Amino acid sequence: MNTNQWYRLDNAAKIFPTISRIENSAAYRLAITLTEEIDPNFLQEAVDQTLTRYPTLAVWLRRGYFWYFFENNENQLLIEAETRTPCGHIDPLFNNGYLMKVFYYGKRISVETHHSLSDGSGAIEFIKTLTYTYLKLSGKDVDPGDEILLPNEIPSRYEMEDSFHKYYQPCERQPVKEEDAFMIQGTVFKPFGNHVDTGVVDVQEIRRIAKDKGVTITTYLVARLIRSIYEESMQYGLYTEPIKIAVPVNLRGIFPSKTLRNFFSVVHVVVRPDESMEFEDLLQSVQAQLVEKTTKESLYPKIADHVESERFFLSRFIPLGIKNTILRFAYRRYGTKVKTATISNLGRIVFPDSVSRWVNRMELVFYPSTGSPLNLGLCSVNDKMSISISRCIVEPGVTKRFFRGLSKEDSIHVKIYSNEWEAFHEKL
Amino acid sequence: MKNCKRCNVELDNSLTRCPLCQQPVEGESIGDRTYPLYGRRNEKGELIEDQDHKARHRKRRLQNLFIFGTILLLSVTIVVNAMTFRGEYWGVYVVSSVFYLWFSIKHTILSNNRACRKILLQAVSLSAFMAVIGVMIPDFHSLIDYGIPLVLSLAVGVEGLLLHFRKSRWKAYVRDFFVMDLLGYLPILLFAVGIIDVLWPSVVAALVSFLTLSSQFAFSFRRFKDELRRLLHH
Repeated sequence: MNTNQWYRLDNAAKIFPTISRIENSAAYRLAITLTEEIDPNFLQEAVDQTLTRYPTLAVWLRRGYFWYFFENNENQLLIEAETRTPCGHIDPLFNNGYLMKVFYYGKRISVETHHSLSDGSGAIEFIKTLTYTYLKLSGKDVDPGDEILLPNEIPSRYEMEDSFHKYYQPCERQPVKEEDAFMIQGTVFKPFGNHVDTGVVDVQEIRRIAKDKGVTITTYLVARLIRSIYEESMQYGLYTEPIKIAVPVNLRGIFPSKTLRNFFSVVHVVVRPDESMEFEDLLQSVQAQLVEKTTKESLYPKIADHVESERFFLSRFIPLGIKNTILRFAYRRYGTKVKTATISNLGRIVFPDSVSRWVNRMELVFYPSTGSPLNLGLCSVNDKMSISISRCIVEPGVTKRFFRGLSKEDSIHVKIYSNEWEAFHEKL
Repeated sequence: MKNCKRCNVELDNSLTRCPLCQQPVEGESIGDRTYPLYGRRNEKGELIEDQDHKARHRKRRLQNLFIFGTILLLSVTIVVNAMTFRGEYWGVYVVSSVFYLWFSIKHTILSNNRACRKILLQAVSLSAFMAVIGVMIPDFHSLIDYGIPLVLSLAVGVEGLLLHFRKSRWKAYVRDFFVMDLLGYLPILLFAVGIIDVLWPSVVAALVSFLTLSSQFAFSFRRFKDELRRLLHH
């Protein structure tokens, strides 16, 4: 590894160091539950080996005069026994400079990654390599197949590129003013922490239900979430703000990128409370919006917007301190207020057979914040889909309605796990 | 297998109440918990008092007390100065002294900042304080003519030495060093526009800045060039 390596932050990453704080950690969790208890010694060794394959994750954040940048971190990333709620703030000062953390608890390995380092796709690759290396070190007969990046490989330069710039095309576009979204109100946990309820469902079962309704799984779950928010918060009263669900789109599915850094865009599914809130109508509306907004033609202007604002003369030469203030304001105005909640779907995570038999399930926990207090993370492995609803507010209403919608209205078998922060926070 | 009949969901065996409807479910907690028991705990898993939290709380209260004391002092000073005004803005000295003291306590004495940042902030705040006093009291104009250039020269020199001798902290220091070094040229600019009347202290400050930066280039040119490229990328 070149110890003198440094990286510019990719286009999407630039906002995250500025906005992250205790109540908005900008760190998401990808966790894997194995079939056996985790051995911390093997895990530490596996982390050490795996990090050498991911130079863009093994970094520390430094301040330049105009932008932040990453520089190789030669310290050891120390694993920790899990003692805090998921997606907590990562303070590099107490983490050997790293912007990621690896926790273990029982049979679970959890990797929490600050969003400035990578999006979900990069984290999936990291956890796949980590799991394979861990199993191998613990004496299991595992074969990496073609699905896993190996620790002793030399990273490709494609994995380190900023794909936003690569796929940027100047294009004509109308300025669109984003309307403020309906915000979920609630009492923020004190002390601050994230409550996570995870429902595990059978992928085939939920796919069949979605297929019967003529939509995709993502559409079905977005519609369920909108319905739950409406029933819990907007059914009675006069509301003019629309419910807007932010859905991150993995641009690697649309553009042929191999990057392990951020390469996503966010589309908003918008539903007005005065429209018909019948579930069937909701499904059609959500499906139509997702199809329309995730085409290449719709995404080019979004990429162009982001890249051009980064390349804009003033934004390049304004000192970082001033830029941070402007970005914080812009995030509050255009980032938080324009969405009600976020649904992030990492899709199906594939392991080689020899590895997947040691894997029970995986979870994606997406960080909530005081501005966006409830979010939903989805991923599936071995035909088990985990739906994790994380919230930093006491009120469980939306979560309850969401899972009841699945189990009562569509008779989907749901198994619930919870970190019970709701019960703990009162005693601390 | 545990179920919540109200929500029609299966529950993890370790749960004793449904996380959705908050109602207790039948049966003891069986098997391992999916998440740890939160909070600081002893070996038996019982909650223990968080002493750090209490200490932080005490510190915050003390800080609030000082803030209120400062506001009280400043308000009284301004009101008394206004009510007994005889052409002298003596309240400004009190206000600027209090601000300088506050800044020094917060960013130099109590702060966890690295040494170069502390020196930079101290040099800037002390220069600003001297500028206010020098402008308000004509007899003290020497603070602007001599005080500011000498404070900045001293700060640049010390930062240069730190950068040279504390190699392990080089990367942590270099960013502040560049800013401090640039500030060393400020007095000569102020002389050029007629704010500073005496030339030699300003020349000394500029010379110290020039020599300190030159020595860094002479002794670690490659490293310096690399670092500048990173810090100035845009």
